[in-house]
Amino acid sequence: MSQSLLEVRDLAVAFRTYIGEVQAVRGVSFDLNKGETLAIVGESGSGKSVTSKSIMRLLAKNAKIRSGEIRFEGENLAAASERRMQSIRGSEISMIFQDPMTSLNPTMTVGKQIIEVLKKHRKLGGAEALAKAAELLGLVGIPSPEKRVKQYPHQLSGGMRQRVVIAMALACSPKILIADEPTTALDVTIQAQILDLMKRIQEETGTSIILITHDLGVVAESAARVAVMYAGIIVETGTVDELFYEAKHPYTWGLLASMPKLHEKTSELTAIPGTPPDLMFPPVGCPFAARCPHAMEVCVAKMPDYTAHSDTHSAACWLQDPRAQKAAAATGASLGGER
Amino acid sequence: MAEQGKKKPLVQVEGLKRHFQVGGGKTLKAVDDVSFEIYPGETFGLVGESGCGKSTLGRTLIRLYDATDGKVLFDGEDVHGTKSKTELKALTRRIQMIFQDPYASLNQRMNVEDIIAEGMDAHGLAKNRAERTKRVVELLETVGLNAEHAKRFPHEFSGGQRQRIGIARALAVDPDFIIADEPISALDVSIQAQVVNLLQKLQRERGLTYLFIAHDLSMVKHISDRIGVMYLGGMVELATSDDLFEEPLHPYTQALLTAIPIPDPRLERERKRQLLQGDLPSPIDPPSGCRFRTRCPFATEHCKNKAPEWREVRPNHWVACHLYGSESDRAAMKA
Ligand SMILES: Nc1ncnc2c1ncn2[C@@H]1O[C@H](COP(=O)(O)OP(=O)(O)OP(=O)(O)O)[C@@H](O)[C@H]1O
Ligand SMILES: Nc1ncnc2c1ncn2[C@@H]1O[C@H](COP(=O)(O)OP(=O)(O)OP(=O)(O)O)[C@@H](O)[C@H]1O
Ligand SMILES: [Mg+2]
Ligand SMILES: [Mg+2]
Repeated sequence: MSQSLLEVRDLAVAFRTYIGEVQAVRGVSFDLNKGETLAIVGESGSGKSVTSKSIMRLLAKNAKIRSGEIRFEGENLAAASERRMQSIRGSEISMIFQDPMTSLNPTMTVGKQIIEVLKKHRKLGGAEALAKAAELLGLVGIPSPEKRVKQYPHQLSGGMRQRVVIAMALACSPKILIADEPTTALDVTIQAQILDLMKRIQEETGTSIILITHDLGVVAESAARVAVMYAGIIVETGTVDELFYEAKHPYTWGLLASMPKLHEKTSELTAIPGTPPDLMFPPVGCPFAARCPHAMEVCVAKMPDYTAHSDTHSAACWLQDPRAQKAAAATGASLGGER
Repeated sequence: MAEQGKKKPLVQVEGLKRHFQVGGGKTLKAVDDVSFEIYPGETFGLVGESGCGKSTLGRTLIRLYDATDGKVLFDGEDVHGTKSKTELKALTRRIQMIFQDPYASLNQRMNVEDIIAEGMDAHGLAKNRAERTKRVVELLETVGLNAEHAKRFPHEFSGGQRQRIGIARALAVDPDFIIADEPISALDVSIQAQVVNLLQKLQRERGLTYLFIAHDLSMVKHISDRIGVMYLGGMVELATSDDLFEEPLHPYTQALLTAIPIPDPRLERERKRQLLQGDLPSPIDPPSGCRFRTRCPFATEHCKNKAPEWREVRPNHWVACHLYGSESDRAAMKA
């Protein structure tokens, strides 16, 4: 096993709103190893973006990290000063967002924007910085980069803009790149180019990537490991193969089953009935219990612990819990925990 | 749809164009010379890159936009022909639309009952208050909601539930043909399946015909009998869902299919993909000849000089590409 670069432990984040407190992230733990791509998938509102913004400490003003640690090379970022975070952001850890326009300044040429980053973190200036900016644009596959550095964001297509944002994020060779839905706004043919680009850059620079996406196809293509989030909790984590072929959590089963298969004819998709819980009033038990076809009494009453299935694979589900398994065996009941 | 040759089409689109005048005296050809047919009871899927003209085509079919040129026949009737108010009303009752954004497409100030009944009221389909309420409750139940929901407002619903309200509203006037413009794109994977299953169930029960516009090719394949692929305002290929996926002919369709990430890591690792170079050109100043030639790995001088014809190269399989053109076009490609 490679060494972990980032260790998130028991992270909890809440938002204060005028009608109450939203428990957006409720005890999330995971590791990111050197040079790997970890995908985070899950329902809309499950806490993927909040988790990644916590790492960058870019949360909204009404947010509070309630508990937990974010250890980056041993240093707890959850407790770091804002000044310390400023030197980390963009240089050690960078982030790319879904909409490239949110990260670009419309009034500045893209070259100038990259140069700003280089000046700030690498103390490069003048002709050297300009040359480096053009080199970075070339690296992300923008043709005639010397010309493009002089253009403004609105003069570029969506795919080009996302490449510029990636170039900016890579300007200081960060150790971690967090990409929050980097291709969702793009077409599949452009998406394929961008994913290919990220893969190539990772091979060349050894950057670790956290890839947030709702597209399981993108996960299968790009990630080594996956964390599945539901209602502010990681319900299952494993290598891509463990997750796609040996999933243990009923939500993961549901997610996999609800996608149409390109190579099989299915007359009806398997939908997960219902909707996720309101995080203003998170359930005490398993948050998926209300939609789970295998739910038992204990699921509603108590949150399950993680059961490990291998060094890399674990799931938080009572079906897999050794105590529930034992109880079922004793009474001769079936837990139904098979797909 | 093997028997489609004999069936009478419900929708016939002939040489349809919809151009927009944009600044500087320039013309944006959002839809440019598109021809195809949709048969009763089928689902016709429409795919293509963002901005290629799918929504504009859908809107022009039901006269939300006027056609710049060409014709749309609905059940034999010219949609864009001059019509009296009653004729137009009769037509709009038979064709309904479901929109992409379940947040923006419902009036936030109306309760669910009024939203669903709006079309019924306009067409005088309910005799009295009691019948109106009864129909609304039936519709809510049809789409998997219930009577309790009738008096609530859109903001109290989740995305999937709102999309169900949009579907109930479309069904309220008992249409024959529904244009669903990215009806599931804004929804979560687990909710998408609920909505797609509902659309299919309604089709079986009511014999509805769908034009299903989407980005997600695996979902389009799942739901469609036939699929049309658009690129930069034109249709480049049209075939049954199975034929298109098993044997895509147009280089763009081929690239599109290899670009879809497959949710299966083992298949993904083995897969060789052919990446397209470059970006989508601007529809204001599209390339001469074949629109796709600037990104096409097979393009030659001929593609620059002449636009390919729209031809049925196999039974029910249409393509616009010189590689499958007339003998002289194919010869010119080799030269
Ligand atoms: N500024 C905020 N104020 C209040 N609640 C917030 C705020 N930002 C996020 N939330 C809530 O936190 C929860 C998690 O949101 P988050 O953005 O992390 O979801 P996500 O998993 O990234 O979803 P998506 O796939 O839609 O991007 C949601 O319930 C959201 O409504
Ligand atoms: N009312 C309008 N005025 C001017 N241009 C328009 C108008 N409506 C659409 N267009 C342009 O027509 C082209 C086709 O747009 P359309 O919305 O039909 O694309 P689409 O295929 O539906 O894209 P998407 O997948 O992003 O929804 C685009 O270039 C768009 O900018
Ligand atoms: Mg998010
Ligand atoms: Mg559209």
